[in-house]
Amino acid sequence: MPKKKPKVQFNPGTTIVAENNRKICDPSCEIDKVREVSMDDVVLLLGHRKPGEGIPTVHPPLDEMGEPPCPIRELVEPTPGARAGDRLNYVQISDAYHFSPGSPYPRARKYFSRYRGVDIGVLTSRTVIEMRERELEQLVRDELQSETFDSARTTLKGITTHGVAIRLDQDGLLFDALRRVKYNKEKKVVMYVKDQLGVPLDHPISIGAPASEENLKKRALQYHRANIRYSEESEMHLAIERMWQLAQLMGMNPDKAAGK
Amino acid sequence: MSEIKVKNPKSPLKGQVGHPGGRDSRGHRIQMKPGRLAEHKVSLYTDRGKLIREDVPLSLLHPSINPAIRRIAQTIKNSSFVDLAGIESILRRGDLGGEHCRIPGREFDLDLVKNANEIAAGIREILSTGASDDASVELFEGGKILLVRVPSSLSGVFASHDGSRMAAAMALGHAIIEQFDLPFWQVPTLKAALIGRYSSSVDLMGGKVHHLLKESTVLEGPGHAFRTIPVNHFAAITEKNAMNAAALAGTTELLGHLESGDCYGPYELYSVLTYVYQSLNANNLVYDLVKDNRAGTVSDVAEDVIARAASDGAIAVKQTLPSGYKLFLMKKPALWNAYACAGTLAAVMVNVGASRAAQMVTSTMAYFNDALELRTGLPSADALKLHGIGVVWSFYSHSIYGGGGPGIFSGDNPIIRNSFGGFMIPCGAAAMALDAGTQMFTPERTSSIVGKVFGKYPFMKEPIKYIAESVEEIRGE
Repeated sequence: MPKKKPKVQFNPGTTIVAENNRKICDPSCEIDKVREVSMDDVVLLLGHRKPGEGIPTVHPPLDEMGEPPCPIRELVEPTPGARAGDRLNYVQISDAYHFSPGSPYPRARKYFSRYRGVDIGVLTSRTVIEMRERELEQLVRDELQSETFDSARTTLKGITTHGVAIRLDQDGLLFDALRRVKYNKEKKVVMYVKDQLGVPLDHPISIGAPASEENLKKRALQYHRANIRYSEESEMHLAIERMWQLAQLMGMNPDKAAGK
Repeated sequence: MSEIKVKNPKSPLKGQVGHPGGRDSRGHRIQMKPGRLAEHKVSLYTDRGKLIREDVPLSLLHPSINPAIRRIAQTIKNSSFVDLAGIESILRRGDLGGEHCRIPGREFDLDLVKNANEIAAGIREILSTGASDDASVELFEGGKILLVRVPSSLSGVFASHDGSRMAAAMALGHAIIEQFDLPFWQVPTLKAALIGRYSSSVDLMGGKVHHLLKESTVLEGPGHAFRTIPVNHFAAITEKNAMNAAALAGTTELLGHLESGDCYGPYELYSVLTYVYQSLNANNLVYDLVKDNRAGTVSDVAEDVIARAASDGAIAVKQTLPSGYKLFLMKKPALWNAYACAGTLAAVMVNVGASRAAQMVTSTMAYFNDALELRTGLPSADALKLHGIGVVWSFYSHSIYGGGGPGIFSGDNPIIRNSFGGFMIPCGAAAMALDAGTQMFTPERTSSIVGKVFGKYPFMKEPIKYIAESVEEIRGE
């Protein structure tokens, strides 16, 4: 549940799923932190560079290269990564259909409301995030520590994301053709044995224990026939149906949509 | 309809009643559009948020009326630019007809750049239609580049923009033949240097006489010529000023839609209103949105746009649902679309400005509009089309299914051309203007000649200012 009432409306709906979606879109609501991940581990999991290495640049720092006179450049402050000329890099987060605490569209809404200078690609079951590298690392760390990332139902998959379908393996982990994660039955935690690109890590990185099914259902961002059905969300149906009707009307004659 | 006197001091009609049926500064007869456009008035601001003109009726910003927009259209249609140094180089090497094509034995040396002044004079003489025509040939970079402008009297009788390019190419050819006394067996080689592999190819492949618009033979559809200018050209011409790049892009897109039959009937107000709000910074909306959210996110801009649209009477609350969600209705659909499109551009400026990386433009377009839809229950920019095109453009500009960066896309691209009124390309132009050098296809790499040549026209370099000021040429006192 949101900790305080949002000032603006984010989406219609009366169910817990609608509430959860409102919560992640509202930057004034804090997202719960469920685990601790070090920045070095984040760098290792991304696999773009080694911890301690400098971030390669694609252009000189903005202060050195100078910028052409432009009112928008003068108004909008560049992020630290942009100012330094960091290369742009990516992470890909794959979500299970089966009660993952995140899903691609809500993820895009979350990052676009909480981060500056972010580029999100929403695809089937996976979300690509591209940013200046230092901001990307911070975002991934925030994400790995947040309640919208479950160690079993969500995986960092830079490549070979396909095949998620509705399958979970015998340990309840999201299907992964490259077997990047393994369940440690003794410690009852999920360990990354490969980085997001499928390259084996020198030592496994623990990402914490999977959440229970009941807990995941409470945190759901997507409608599911075994949890909150989409058909139960009558407000959402009303809003979306109306939006599409008006769009069709505007495609024929915008004036006909006046007052509707 | 009130009478309007021509105020332009250069106009031969100064002081006379110029409206309706007045003339612009070049003596062209113009017709004031009656009807709904005249009823809507906006204030025009500079790219830095300073007021230029108040209460300007939209009818004066219609491309068929506004003198500066007409100048932009005429300049683009009538001008060709010649890479003279390139012609010299390919003749020397025999590199004819585009990439991977070299014809040994056809090489010959001509000192074209050294003789650029004489060649320019020759072209001017050939193209001249009389002592007072407006034909011109200008030299850039010591004669390496020529800008050839055919006289309006000539282009006026052409059916399409191709005429100015072919006239420039043939005038150049004859001037070179004359200047160097070329033997006739070298003329076909020269022709291949000027207009490339045509007519073996459909376009003028490998030719060094260029035009901003693509050849009619390769257009995506009837009237699509003005939509063939790549995004990078707008950034280069305006010297990477994001507001002006968006304005120039919006202007040519509107011209393209006008020509392809998209801006008539109920869509006239829809297109022109959105154009002035999104591209011309009408009522300072775009600048204000960026200024107020300079440290904010895409979501903050969406929130701001909805609040402004509600307070300015474009939308209103229809009903409150049980969860407390307020369902909106459109009181003025065209104005709501204008706010949504202006907001999309502002969101792109805020997000791309923060990262100084143009690739963000596509997803910003998509999810800014997603936010508008979810928060109001109304169709977002361009009746949901900007959302869809943002998603598709993401796919094709991020090397997922090939393609290139946003900078080399143009409005007529078959996968993205369906956005009405060209509300998408201004966003791309602003993004490429704000890019700090992260793209493979930068304006410096793809459009440096275009930038140098067309950047010399102040009304193309600073269209916001000149379009607003040109209103005085036709407005009443």
